[in-house]
Amino acid sequence: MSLEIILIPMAIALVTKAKSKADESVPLASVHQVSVETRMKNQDLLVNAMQNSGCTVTSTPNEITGSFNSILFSFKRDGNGVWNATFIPGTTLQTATQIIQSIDRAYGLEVQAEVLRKIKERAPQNGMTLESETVNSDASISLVLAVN
Amino acid sequence: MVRRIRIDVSPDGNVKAETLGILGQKCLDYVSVLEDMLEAEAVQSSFNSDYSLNEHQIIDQHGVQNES
Repeated sequence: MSLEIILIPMAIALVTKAKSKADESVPLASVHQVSVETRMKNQDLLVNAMQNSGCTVTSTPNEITGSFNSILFSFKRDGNGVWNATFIPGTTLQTATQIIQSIDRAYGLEVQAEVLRKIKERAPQNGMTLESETVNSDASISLVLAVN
Repeated sequence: MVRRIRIDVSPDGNVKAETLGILGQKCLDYVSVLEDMLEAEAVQSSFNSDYSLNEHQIIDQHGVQNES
């Protein structure tokens, strides 16, 4: 028996799902612009995730622009440091959500790899030794550390 | 008793850690250790029987005399 702890890496905002919405400030007669809130906070990991999802990416400190199958979109940080996406007018909510979900899946894998890297790199300086590493059927990875 | 920590990292990036053989309040020390090591925030934790045990109780359960 033990103490069990659920941890959320700092690269992930404390929300469970991406949210999408059409900009209601735009008059109905014009073309709505779709924005999608995400959980993604780390710029480098987001850029990697976009590239791994097949996007063309341009990144500056304040904005990340992307293109997927000629659909243009950009990410900007909100006040909590989360990168939220806005799509070119005319993009449907469904298409925008699908693109962000694909990027989010790739982002999760980037975070997983980053967490594993940090554990392996930092365990010795925290008095721990890696005993085993197991890839599970759900693609999660389990590490067992011996505490010295 | 061998002390271990098992860490499960899911493909969506979320992490679950479990202390094994770390008795009593000592296990709480590893919450902040893991937060720092993983650059993560602990959002939920739950205790079980190891938390309420100490080393003397473990020795008693196994019938071993140890005054150290």
